[in-house]
Amino acid sequence: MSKTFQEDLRSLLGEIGATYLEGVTAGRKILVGPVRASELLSRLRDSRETSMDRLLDLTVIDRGKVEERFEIVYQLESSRLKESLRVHVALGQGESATESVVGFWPCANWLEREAYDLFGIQFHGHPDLRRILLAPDFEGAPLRRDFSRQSDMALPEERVE
Amino acid sequence: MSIDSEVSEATTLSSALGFSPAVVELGHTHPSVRRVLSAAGGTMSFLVSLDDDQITDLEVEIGIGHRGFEKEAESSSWSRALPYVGRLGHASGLIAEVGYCLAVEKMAGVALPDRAIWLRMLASEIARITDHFARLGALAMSIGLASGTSAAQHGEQHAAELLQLITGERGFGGWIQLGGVRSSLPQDFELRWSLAQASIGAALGKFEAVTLRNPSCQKRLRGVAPWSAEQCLAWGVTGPSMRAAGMAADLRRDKPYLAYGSVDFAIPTGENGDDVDRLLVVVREIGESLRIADQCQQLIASWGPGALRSAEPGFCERPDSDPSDLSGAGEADLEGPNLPFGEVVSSVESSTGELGFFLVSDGEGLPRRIRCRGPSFFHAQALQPMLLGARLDDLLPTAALLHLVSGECDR
Repeated sequence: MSKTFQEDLRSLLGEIGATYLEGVTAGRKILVGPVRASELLSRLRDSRETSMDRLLDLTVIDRGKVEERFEIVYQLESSRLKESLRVHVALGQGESATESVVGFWPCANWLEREAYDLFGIQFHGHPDLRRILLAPDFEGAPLRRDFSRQSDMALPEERVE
Repeated sequence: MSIDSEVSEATTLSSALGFSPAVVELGHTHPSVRRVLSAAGGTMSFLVSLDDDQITDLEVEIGIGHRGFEKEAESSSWSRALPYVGRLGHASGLIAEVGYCLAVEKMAGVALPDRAIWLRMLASEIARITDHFARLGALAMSIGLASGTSAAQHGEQHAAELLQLITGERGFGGWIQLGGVRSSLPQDFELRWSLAQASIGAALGKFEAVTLRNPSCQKRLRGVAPWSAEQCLAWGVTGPSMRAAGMAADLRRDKPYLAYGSVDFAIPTGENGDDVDRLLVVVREIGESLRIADQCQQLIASWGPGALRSAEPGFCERPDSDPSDLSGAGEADLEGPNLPFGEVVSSVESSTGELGFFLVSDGEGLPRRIRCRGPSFFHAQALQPMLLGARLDDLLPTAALLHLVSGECDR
């Protein structure tokens, strides 16, 4: 990561009140609360100093705790500056919803649908939030840690021919 | 009275005849049907809204091939996830295993012995050739060029046989291990390699003659589904399809892993990002993969026998394995490794595009999260904007060239 990029990034994060972590394996990681997450993501994309024009991935971590259980993880990259970083948005206690970023990166559409499908996260403003991998009548969010692999989703009796 | 005097404005045949727009469903099929509809990845279904033969809307349905990979992989140890990783594609499953192992090794801070690095590269490039030929065969089938399909199948066969020689499997995994690879090359590999290289080159040449140097094929694919570099960035399209749009980006050169920084290879690009350019890039990449594999093979042949797996204690071997066993055939530790607290992202250049693994460890020995970023997922999503306004006939060739692999898309 170039020095100027690092400085620009730190000043942007300072304005938003986000935390910056850098580790050997963790790479560059930004922690931000849900209130200013949308603002941070749009500024990371639009500001000339960061130019994060690529959303490489969007996923969820179920930390298994009561507070800040769900973390939405955005992997961003700048094709021009050749820098990448991860933004982790920790949702508050009991929260499982956040703002959609489809308006910032079009490929977020299916990524958010998958997070909704497998983790049950709601994305406000998503144009078409519905399951994408599982059947439409599936119940539950299987990638949550409290969803058992020995599935609760056996076929109901009336559907067995 | 001719039709001209009845029709006062330019219109499609169907509306002139009074037909209403239709919705057609293509799909689903089984992923093993690789050269028919599986040009489209096999388990995808397309709901195509048509006006005459023009696509007015397209809904791509994925998920039939969903096997709960991430849930299963997160449910036991890091090493037990590896067989599932190998099933994230056909031959590209091997490249996925490389990506996963590199992520785990990065998190553990484990260095690989040289032989393991170069053997992984050799196998990855042959897997790439196998996959590329599969994609070319599907492409030729979708536009009715049977001789192209047969040339591509020959190329795929020779490459798959090489993979079987090296790994024991035609790309289904089990040879890439945490910390290294399972075995070294057989004694007669140099000879088998030079024979295979010639056969693959011949098959590729035949394929090119039937497609790229065939004016009808050029005309058929020219201008189909053009896609710019900006659109690639916005929609997460990577790999040969991105290079076809003119972006000379390749993880093997931009963020080199293994020893890709030490080999010579070119990065073919196109201009318009249409089907012809996508075809061109894939064909040229087979040649480049042959080059890389040849350099790997020569270097490995110049070394004698040696360690194939990391000697890091507790990483991949069971405690009672014989450490002087250079074959690397020691008992794998299925309950480990015990990774420290942390997160890691590791991306490799798969035959479809950027394949990423995001691993989260609590430091308690079991995974918190194993996320696979499958390039086909993004390509399947991009099909809709890419094909609006194209013809129904263009759907299968474009899908074939994007190389939608249901293993990594549906996971």
